[in-house]
Amino acid sequence: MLHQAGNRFNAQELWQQDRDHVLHPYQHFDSFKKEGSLVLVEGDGCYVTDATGRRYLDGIGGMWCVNAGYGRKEIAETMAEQALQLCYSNFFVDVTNAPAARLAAKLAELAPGTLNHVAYATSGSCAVDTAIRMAHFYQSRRGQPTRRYVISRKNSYHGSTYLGMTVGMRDGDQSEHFKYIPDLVHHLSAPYPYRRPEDMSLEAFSDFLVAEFEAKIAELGAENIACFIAEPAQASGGVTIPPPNYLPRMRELCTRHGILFIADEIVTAFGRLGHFFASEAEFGVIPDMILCAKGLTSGYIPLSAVIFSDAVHEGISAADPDVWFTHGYTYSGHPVACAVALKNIEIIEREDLCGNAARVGDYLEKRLGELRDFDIVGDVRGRRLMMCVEYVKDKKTRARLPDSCNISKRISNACEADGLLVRPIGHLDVLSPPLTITKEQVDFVVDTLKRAILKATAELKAEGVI
Amino acid sequence: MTMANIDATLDAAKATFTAKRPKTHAMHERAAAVMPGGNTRTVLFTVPFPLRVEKGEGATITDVDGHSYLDLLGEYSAGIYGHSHPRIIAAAKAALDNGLNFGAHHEGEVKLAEVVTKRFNMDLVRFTNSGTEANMMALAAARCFTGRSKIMPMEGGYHGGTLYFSHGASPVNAPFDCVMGHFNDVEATRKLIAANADELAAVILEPMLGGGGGISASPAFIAMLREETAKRGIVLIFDEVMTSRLHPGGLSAKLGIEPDLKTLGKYVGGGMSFGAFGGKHAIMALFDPTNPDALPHAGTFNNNTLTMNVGHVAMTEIYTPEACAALNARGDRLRDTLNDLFMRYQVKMKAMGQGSMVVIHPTAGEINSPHDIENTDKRLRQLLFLDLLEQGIYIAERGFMALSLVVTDADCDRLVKAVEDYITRRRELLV
Repeated sequence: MLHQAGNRFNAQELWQQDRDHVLHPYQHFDSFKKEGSLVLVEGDGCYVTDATGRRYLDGIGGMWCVNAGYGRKEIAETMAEQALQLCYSNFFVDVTNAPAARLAAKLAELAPGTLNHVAYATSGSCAVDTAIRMAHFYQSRRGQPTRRYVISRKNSYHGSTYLGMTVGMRDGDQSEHFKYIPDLVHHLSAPYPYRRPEDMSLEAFSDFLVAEFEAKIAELGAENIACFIAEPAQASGGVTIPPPNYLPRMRELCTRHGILFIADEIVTAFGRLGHFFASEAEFGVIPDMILCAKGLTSGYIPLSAVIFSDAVHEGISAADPDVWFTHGYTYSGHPVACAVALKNIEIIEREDLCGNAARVGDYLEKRLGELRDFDIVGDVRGRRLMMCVEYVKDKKTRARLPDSCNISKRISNACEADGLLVRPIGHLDVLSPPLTITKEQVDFVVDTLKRAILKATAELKAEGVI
Repeated sequence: MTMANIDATLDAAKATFTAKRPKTHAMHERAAAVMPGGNTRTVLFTVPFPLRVEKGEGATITDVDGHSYLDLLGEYSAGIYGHSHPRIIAAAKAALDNGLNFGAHHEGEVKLAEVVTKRFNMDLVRFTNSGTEANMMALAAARCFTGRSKIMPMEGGYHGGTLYFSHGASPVNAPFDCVMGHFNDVEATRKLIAANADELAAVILEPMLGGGGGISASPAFIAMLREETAKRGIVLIFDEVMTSRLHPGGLSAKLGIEPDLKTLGKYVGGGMSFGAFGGKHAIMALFDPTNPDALPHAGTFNNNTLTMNVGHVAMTEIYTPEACAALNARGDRLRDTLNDLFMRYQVKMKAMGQGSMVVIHPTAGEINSPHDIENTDKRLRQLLFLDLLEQGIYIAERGFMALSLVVTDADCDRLVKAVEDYITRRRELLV
């Protein structure tokens, strides 16, 4: 069945159907009308194949999510078996199913600290919604109903629902055509070391960010703040690794002021940084809640989870015969999705994909570092298999290239022509390949990206932009 | 459409080739009436019948049916200057204007010998008409120098039409008494040398098998050969007819190991018929005619004025050390890109060789010796060859390419796209 892409699919017809009828996430109408979509039809390992038979190394890992790689037969078989055995079960109030129960126990085992309880949802966005509602519920149940504010950060991304867009704050999402929920979320500065104020050391930058949080708590009153939500390493907002000790100090402030610390690990969990969860292993913090999705099922099927602490559980479940947690979805704890997650975790453990991500990820960091010498590369950053390249016009001033250059898209297009998919976001190209990637494949990724950057640099020079 | 099997696919490719080349077909029939199989150089025969080229210019050749091709074969490494290098043409004209072959010594041979000995680190050199002749003479010199009779070539080695050791020995080989070495098998070959030490005159190999598939000798293998032959008074000969183009001082200089004799050919004569052997003074002095016991070395065209003068211009003005480094860097980039492509499609293909010599094999396994490619499917080589012709690119049917100086990065990109097209169309046969 595989390897027939060029013969089995009518590439032109698929392209046309998509262009005529589909509205994509983050669709850019102007270019879509001209170019339409890349039609993908097959995947195996780190590779995807389009309808014409062209193969690409998927440097994006789907959407930061195909951690175990494409084409895992045992995951497909698990899906089929579970669908035949029990395709769906009501999950409301007091009904459960075997995979959901087993998975919750497994997640409790893997998660740090006392995070022993799981609420399921179907996407990262829904997990964010669940977590914020649970934070409000928790604070109210422990007798502090005025705690409503959510503290988030600039450059953060926490999903695309109405609430998710209110909580997150990337520049590109602040469209004049949308109005988000008022008087709910306050945004602190982004922990974005590359663009910190000039002449400020990393330590001083950390001090500044922590002091800003303290000032915000003083301004709003701790008694009015429910939670602080943060991606341990901001993902689509810039692939930023925070300054040293920043997260532990933010955690400490949360603890001191009764504010729940919610770690949005939708990108970082399940191996991308070399650990099942990055909060404690990579950044030294144990959150009150961890949100995960994406790598939880390696993208084979939608599933997300909010993993929360014994303390939060005790708070929300304190004795009261009239209290219900009126939250949940039709597809919460879906048996097929949970069975896939269990199989996916089994594969990650059996093949030590976290270890591979650590080893090959370190190599990717090292090789990508070579790009720092290029004229238009301002920064190369990230950790292991979550990396990005930031382009600039002037390395010294860190001034960006004009938006009209469309620099990241220009470079991702050149990579695509050479068989590599990277993800353009603003002035960045982002890499988040499957955890199964090899050193040889990393060499291909870096060499291809190098060629594309050199090509774009030559074009920009010819155009008189630089 | 699904592809039933390799035979059907290959038959269709042959039919397409034939249908588009009526004049080529007719000329092939004409040739077959006067030459066996219509052929006078076996390696040029391809199925269903070979190309007939009418004209070459730069990196382009055009066949008698009017199809043009990007020439990546580069005349099996001899055509390094392209088909119409203005400096080569001017040098040839100047040589012709000055008079063709004198039946006497002239300055041209001195100048070329000065350049060649310096560049390839030889004490003394002698010129021949071809690489085959150079190897025959080098082996003869070794036998006379040592007073021993046997030689050790490598299984799968090629040193000319009469020194061809693939699948045993060619029936038309010169009747040397051979002990066959095992390419890249350090211990087995060391034992063979020791066991035959008293009878072995020479060990001969290409430090990278050229026609044998672009397989490099490992540094450990070369070091063992140097050590064992030096210890036992055996003459070590590097056939650098092809590989000398891979580094300004030849592949031995790149490896940092000098043989006793080395042979040259192909491109060094500027595209004219050429061969040379040379090396240590003690051995080469055997040919010194001032010595009453001197060995004879004949050859009407050994110092022909065309080769000597054009070769000198080519080696001093065109294939300079800088040009050599740049060309080989381009080849390395091409090979890496092809291997990335094969990895990406996870097809059973592999690009071997070094520098500007690239060989595509229809296998994904490790290739360390000629044995490793013995059982590859010849039909897949033929299919790639025919499919690339369809896309206007000419390589050797066996997958061999030798980039000439007029091949550009854009030409290399064109090959990569054409190979990618081949893979996407034929992938079921290649996984």
